[in-house]
Amino acid sequence: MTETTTPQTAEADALAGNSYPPLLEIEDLTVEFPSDDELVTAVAGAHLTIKANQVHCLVGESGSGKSQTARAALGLLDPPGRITSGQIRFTQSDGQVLDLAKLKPRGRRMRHVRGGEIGMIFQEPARSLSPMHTVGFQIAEAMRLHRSIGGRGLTKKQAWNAAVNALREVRIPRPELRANAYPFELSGGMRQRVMIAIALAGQPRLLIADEPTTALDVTTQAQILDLLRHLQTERGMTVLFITHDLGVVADVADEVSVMRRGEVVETKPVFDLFADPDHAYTRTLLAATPKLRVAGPESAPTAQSKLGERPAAKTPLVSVRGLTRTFTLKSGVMGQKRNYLSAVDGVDFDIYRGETLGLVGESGCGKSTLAKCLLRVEKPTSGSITHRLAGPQQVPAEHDAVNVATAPESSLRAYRRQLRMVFQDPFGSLNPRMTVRDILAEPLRQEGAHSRDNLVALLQLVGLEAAHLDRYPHAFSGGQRQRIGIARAIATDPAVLVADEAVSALDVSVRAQILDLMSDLQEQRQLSYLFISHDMSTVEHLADRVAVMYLGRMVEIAPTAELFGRPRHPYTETLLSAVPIPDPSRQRGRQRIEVSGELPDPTEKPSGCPFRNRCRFAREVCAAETPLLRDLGEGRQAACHFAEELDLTGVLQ
Amino acid sequence: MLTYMIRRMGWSLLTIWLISLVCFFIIQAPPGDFVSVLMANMEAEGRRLNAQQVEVLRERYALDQPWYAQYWAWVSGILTQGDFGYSFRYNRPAVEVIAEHLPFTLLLAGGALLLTWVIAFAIGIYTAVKRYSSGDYFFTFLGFIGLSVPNFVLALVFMYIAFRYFGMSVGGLFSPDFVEADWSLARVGDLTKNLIVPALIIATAGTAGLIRITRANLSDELTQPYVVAARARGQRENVLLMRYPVRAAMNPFISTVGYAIPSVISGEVIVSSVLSLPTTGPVLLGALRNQDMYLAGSFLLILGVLTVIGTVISDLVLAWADPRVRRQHSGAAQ
Repeated sequence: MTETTTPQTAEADALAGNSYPPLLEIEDLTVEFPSDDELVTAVAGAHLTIKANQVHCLVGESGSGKSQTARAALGLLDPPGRITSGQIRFTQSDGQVLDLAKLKPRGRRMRHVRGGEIGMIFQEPARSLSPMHTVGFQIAEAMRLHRSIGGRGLTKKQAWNAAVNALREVRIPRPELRANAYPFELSGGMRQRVMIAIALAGQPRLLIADEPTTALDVTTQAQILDLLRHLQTERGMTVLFITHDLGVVADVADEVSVMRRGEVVETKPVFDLFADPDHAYTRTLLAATPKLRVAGPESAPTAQSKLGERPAAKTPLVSVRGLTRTFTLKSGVMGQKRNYLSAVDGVDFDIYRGETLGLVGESGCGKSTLAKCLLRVEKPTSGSITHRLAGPQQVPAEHDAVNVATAPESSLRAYRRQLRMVFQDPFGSLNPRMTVRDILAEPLRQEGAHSRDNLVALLQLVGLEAAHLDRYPHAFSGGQRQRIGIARAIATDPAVLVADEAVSALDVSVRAQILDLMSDLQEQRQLSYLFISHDMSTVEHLADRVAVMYLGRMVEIAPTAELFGRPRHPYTETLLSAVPIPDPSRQRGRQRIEVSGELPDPTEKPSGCPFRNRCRFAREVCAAETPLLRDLGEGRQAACHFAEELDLTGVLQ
Repeated sequence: MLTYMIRRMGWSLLTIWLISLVCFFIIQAPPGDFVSVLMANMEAEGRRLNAQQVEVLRERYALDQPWYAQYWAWVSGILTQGDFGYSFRYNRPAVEVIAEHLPFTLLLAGGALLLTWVIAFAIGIYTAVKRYSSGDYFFTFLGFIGLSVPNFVLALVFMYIAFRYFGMSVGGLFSPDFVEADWSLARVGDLTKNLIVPALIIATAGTAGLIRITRANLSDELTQPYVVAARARGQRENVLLMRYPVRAAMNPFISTVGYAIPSVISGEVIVSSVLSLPTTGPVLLGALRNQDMYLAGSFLLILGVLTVIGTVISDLVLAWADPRVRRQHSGAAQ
């Protein structure tokens, strides 16, 4: 961890007496978005001082004005946004102090500042690059705008070479080749590296990173954060890092500012902020963030204690064996070439009554396809799903399990009433033309009998009121909509809820409320959850057991505390190591496991163990034999040849 | 890319074959075969075909044989000898009638398309960038008028204005002085002058539609993060406008090549009638009204094939211009 030495000394210096001069001083900044019927104040008199050579994190929930503050500095406010008051003083490389708030957004001086003095990277690397141009072209453009050799601009050739070098500096393998790639041919992590290369082309003194890792997987996030840290130290750059994720803050920040409703409520060095927050809002934010706690007798996860007994002792409610879903990809002139992609590849797992099974893995690993197969939205190619779910009339205990994987569509109605889904997107998953009453009544239509009282009871169950019944979804906030989604899911009194990234789109504080609601409902109704998420800390907070998927296969299933404490599969270890712990001293004291490479193309899985090409323990046998998911005792399963021998590091000590 | 092209060509050949079948059945649709109609026509004029001539014609078009043999005789005639059949109305081979009118039609269609593009491109970009400005409202209003006023009304209005206020003779491809003249620079100039008005009239409806499409597309692209990102790296506003969002909003322009051909040619029928232009439109109309089926069928075939070719060209240009089409369609399932 040589890289963290500088930020830590910087940290000490900052504590000692601000040895670094301010680079960017924002004073009393107000940004307004006037429209015909209202005036939205996005930033309301914000104060922010960013010192040179520091990583300054700006934290806040969505709508707190953190992005608009940064955009105002570069004159990039979307119309009709405008700066109505305040100063943004920036010290240029020649020592001159500019008030960016006074510059014309389209003027020459502002254009010089953009890219030449301040570089910026964005949340969505996929959409921040033009799909019509190669990445090399876009980097070269930035090079020609800001670099010169002997007072003259770069030729096309020189700019292209500089672009290739820039790709090398952001650690993209085979940069000569990649420069010719179009953005859609690169992975998300690669695209963000390209964005970084563009932002750094003009050798700016300040890099503004606006949620640069939010759209990325946790392992990719770790790689990008590593890269940013490395570039920051190497170039003595200042970074303004905007994020909502306190784990990321704990990982990278020297100083932190917290924003709320357009105001900066608190600014502190990172260790102080986590240890001793001044403002009530900061405390709320910290409290709402799942901590990945140290497991001890007093802090045992509540979800587990309430379950009482170990689920292994019971018969499973839903049993999945050898579940496979294969897609056929055609290519060639007449579609004669076929590639097979097993999005889900021979998966085994059980769900017990009243438990929460967390399902984690990087995007593209087959989590969502698995959920769709389980709900029979997709028909599995092979395998079995057997269940002991009660129908409308109580099924006798001795009732034989039914295989739903192959059952005809017409026989699934009862099953689908018992297994329901909560969706990720609270905006897209509710029909905007239906009232809440219609939305809740829809799954009950078959029964015929749903009184207003039933629907009101449902609403109250999820913390909404009878008065909300006749409103349309647009009248609700994201959190409220997700409550409606949950009410719709439990309307048929199901036994299992599948929650696919159900809280990922929500802000931390709202997320905490929804998770609480889900826990309450589980307790009241003995619900089982299949909780799918890429967010390890939320899963740790909520799940009793966790299943880890990689390239369509289950690689490990274990009780939560055991899995997070001592993983038995190297991939689980990799995932855990990449999760930033929202506690700077723990996060920075951790042994970091280098994540090598990227998720391979699912059509070209390596032979044998799918993880072997990224695994630091891989041996010959791993290429020859595919390890199966084996029982390791204590309710643990892992698919690794060396599950017993390896001493892997978790996050809970 | 190569697989994409080959597959695209294969589908167009299939489409052309289907079009030829349809045209063939249209030719066959009226009662009686070609020779009996020809005989009837000639008798009406007091002439007679001798038995030998009848026999030659029946053999040439395989009239005594089943329909697929007749179809084959027709198609192979077209492919090998360029023989599209016979026009009763003109008493000439259909191909001659078409050859006489097609070049001007293509000239007019090409001119109209070019005008459509130039005007729609400029105004589309202007209205998208200056959305909700008075200029935008003005052009939007103008566009809707262009969309809603029928072409022939416009043609009449143009004729009136040109004649009444500019003393120009409108109608026909050439001014009276040049009708019989030899080809010269002055004659070409006169042709151009006479083509502009009809081209403009035909172009109006298409232009108005394309302006709206461009405005909507470009407005979407203007708010894309990659535009902000280009701005954030310090690029000039007009450079980045043309380089990124306009480039991405260009696709509808390219697609118009395909469907503009039939719409320009059908839009041209009435305009050409009103302005008495010697293009294919009025001839096709006449052929249909007089049951001059070989001529009509040949027209339909040629128009159909031109449309298919236009579509193929626009698809290939699209693939050339848009890397997403080029690199992703290379093998993916449809």
